[in-house]
Amino acid sequence: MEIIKEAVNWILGLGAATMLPIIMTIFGLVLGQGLKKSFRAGLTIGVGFVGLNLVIGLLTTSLGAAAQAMVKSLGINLNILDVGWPIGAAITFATPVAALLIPVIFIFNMFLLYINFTKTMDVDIWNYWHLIFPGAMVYYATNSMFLTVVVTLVNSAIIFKLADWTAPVIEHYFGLPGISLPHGETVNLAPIMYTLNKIEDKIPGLNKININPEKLQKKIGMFGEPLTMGLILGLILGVLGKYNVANTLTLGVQMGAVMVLMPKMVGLLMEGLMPISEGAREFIYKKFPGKEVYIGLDAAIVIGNPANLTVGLIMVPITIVLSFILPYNRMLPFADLAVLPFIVIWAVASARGNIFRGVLNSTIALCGIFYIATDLGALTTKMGHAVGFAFPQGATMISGIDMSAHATVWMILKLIDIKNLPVFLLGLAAAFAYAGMWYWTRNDIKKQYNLGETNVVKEKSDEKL
Amino acid sequence: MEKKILVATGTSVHKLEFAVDYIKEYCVKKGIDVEVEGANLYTADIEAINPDVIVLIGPNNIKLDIPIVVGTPFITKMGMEATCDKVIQHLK
Repeated sequence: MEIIKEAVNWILGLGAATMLPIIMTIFGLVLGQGLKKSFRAGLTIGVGFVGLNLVIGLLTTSLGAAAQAMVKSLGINLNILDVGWPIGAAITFATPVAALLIPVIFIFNMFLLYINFTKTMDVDIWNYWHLIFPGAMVYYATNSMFLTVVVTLVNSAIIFKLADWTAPVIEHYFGLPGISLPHGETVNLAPIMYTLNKIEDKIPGLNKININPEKLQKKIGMFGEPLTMGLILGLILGVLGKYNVANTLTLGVQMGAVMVLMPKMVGLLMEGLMPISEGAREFIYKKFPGKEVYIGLDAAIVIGNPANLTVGLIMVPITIVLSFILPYNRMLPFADLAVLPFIVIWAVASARGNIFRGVLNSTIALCGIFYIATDLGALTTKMGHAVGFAFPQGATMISGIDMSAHATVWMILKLIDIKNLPVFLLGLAAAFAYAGMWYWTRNDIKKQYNLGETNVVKEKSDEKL
Repeated sequence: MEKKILVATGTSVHKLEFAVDYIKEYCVKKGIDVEVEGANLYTADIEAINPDVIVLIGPNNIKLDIPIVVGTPFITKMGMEATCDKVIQHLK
């Protein structure tokens, strides 16, 4: 027994780039994918990890320096760098708890399906990072494995339920039947977005504004390309930091490089996870044949629609401006500006493509996201250091827009801080507000698409609210 | 004239290519001679492409008189063969 424990600790202590290949190879074998395929996949994950580490090194040194320069030249103190979701995902998969939580969540999902608590069958192992991330955060905040597992399971249950609730939207608005999106940080914003939408419906004048231009996306499309975005942002930051021309240009190119290289490294991570994902999928399909389920997939499948992309792009300058003008904010948005189309999904979908509301509600959401990013900055930075990412200690902190959109995670973190009364009460108030919002809008999706129970008396009294 | 299948989706190039390749291979296996093309659902001129059947992965805003088969099995990877059979039916 001791030998096994020693061996496990040794493996986990190797550091992510070496540990992940070993663990993922084992998972691949367990899921019947064969040694060669599993080993190659595991190694690819390790390589992706090394690559990501290189990119984050570039990002934090160059962008970090620019942020420091901005402090000097403009007095703007945005010292939490938005390093992007890939780093969040990589950190999550690299923490020792991930190895445990992947099978735990998998089995938990099967159990919830079996008892019909949920209809969502999450086959996207890549998605799992959103479900493990809370666990990782709790682990580094409390050092308690017990709390880690409990919180992860509670959060996963909430996310599965949210996915079930929003599944009709995936079918009727996005045109993808039989699919749900248990994609943590996006779907957890849905109750808030539907609430905002419902309120806006009732405001005279405001409720009539509706913009649905399809041509708009073609015109601003080029600026949405990560390469261009990185370059322009780099140049702007260089100017704001009062760099000379040469350094400004260099920063522009470096930032463009980060925006292009990061997804490529992530691509490697995803490629490595593929066999495991396929294995899990095959396993699930065999165990639950014929059962009516929603196949849980990554939200990437719905961001392509024009309204969504348009709002995502419009939000780029808005997000940057917000970061400067929000008094409590310390995060400098950067890498995740490219994934704003994810963050805005439910703002747009709840308003059924109304770009005006999409932008308005996304802006409100981002105000909250910046708060969470600033609030959890120390913790996310600690996690980054703990898994061995190469960025300088001290002044620079790391977070991300995507990481900080995990509203349910934030609430849970506040709630488990029982000894700290003001924090706990804040979490409690937020949890109540969130539950209240979800409850208030619980029938809105069915109503929007004319589905479900037609209890006339019940609907009439709902409308009076 | 050779028949044409159009896979139309707004999801991603990667998923589009997967669907197109899968359908192509399936048709070859079944000995069916058909052209399989992929396009972005939101930007393509479907009328100009003029397929005999459309495999759709996304919302149906197509106002043409062409048979449509729901293509979501190509992103869930469940029930792909049955879907291909449905597509082939429409070619007849």
